[in-house]
Amino acid sequence: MLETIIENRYTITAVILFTLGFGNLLLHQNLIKKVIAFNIMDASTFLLLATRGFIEGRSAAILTEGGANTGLYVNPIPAGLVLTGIVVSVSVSAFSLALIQRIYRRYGTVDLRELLDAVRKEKV
Amino acid sequence: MKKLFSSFSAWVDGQKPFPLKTEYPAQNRAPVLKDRSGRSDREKLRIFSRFYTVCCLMICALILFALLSMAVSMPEFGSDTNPTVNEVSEHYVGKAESETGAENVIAGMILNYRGFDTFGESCVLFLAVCCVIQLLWHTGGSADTRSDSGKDAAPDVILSRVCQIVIPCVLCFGICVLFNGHVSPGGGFSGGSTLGAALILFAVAYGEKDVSRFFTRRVFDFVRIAGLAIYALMFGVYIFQGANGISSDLAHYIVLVIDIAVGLVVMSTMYGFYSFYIRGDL
Amino acid sequence: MEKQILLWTLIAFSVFILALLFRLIKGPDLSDRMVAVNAINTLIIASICLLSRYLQADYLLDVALIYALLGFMASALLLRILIAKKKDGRDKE
Repeated sequence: MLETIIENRYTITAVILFTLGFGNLLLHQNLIKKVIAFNIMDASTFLLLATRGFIEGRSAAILTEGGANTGLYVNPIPAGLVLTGIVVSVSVSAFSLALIQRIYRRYGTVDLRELLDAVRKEKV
Repeated sequence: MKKLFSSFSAWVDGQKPFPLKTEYPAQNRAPVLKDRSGRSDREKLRIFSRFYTVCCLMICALILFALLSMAVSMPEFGSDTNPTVNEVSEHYVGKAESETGAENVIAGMILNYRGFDTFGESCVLFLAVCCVIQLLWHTGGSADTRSDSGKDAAPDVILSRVCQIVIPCVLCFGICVLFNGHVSPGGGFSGGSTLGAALILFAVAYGEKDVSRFFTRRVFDFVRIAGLAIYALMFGVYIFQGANGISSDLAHYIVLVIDIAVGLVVMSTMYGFYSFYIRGDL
Repeated sequence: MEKQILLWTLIAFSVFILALLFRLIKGPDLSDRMVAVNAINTLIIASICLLSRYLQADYLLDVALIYALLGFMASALLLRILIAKKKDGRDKE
């Protein structure tokens, strides 16, 4: 049991980080803390993806003088997926923070419960 | 247990009180709703929030259990008999230099073999800046922004003197990372981010009005659109010539041009985000 | 021998980073948290440089350089807003 945990330590760390981020996303009432929780979940996904490409004893996928010998380099495909993920994470965070800034300008608060109160009061 | 922690932290800190909730001032804080069924509404809210917390914790435990049972049954970490190490990655590593002209296998992969992916990402960055401009653009004092957001702060002497030396070095380093993206680690995204960081540092040290003297709205739009258009045109060459119809030297230059285009888009995106958040204008 | 020294230094830096986390979580004011973040950034840059020597990989020094730039920029930006806020608070009184 312990050996499986130590062998898959990166995947287990990524899973624990993901669950922590998800719990934060559900339980916090402040909108900006929800955005931070989103970023934690994104970071855990990058950890999971980047460590799936590792092969023991090989170096990073930059061709050196050894030539194009496939036995010397790490699997490059998960690194491309991480690049896509980082761009998506940045764009989503930026857009949601812009929305939060407009909400703050309109209602004066970033707390979810006070926001719902204010919106309900406006409807009435 | 809590008392132990609080006494330890008080000893470290010299007996400062530990506030339980962070306070942030709000300009026109909305009053809490108090309607005719006052108390029962609040009771309902309290019961619901406890029920909500318990439900969320149960859902998180369920997700944790499901993902952990997946994690321990993953294939062996770091072995080369993994299912993910197949002929695709061997082709990418083996043929990257001859077919794409890039020695950095990952740069060759994302700009050539999986170039449409990167094109989509550049479009996503472009679109994100367009949305942020649409949401946050205001000129003058029409929106009630706070007076302590620091946008009119006088430049600091130490920061300006330090940035006089640091910013040219950072710009040179960013251009170096950008242009060497196909040979060493780096490339469009990291080089563009470094250049954007240099611009943001300039704006922090000298004020945004100085930057908007050369980086006006028109230049900003032109740089963004030019980056995306260059990427589309260069990738169009690959589509019309066919993937194997380009020699290695020409592929070298095409990868470099595509890298620079991606770097331009990312740089303008980073500075655009900063400028629109702080001041609502470029 | 050299690898042993590098390994133990890396472990020591990790322990220091964990100790700084305490100040990051506890610090009642924003300035305390910013000082902790700056110290953690410095330790991480040092760790990346040591790691580049341990793994014999030259490109990690570029990573350390970019991380140093981003840390400097973040603290400069946050400090500007903090100073404006304090000045505004003092003007209002």
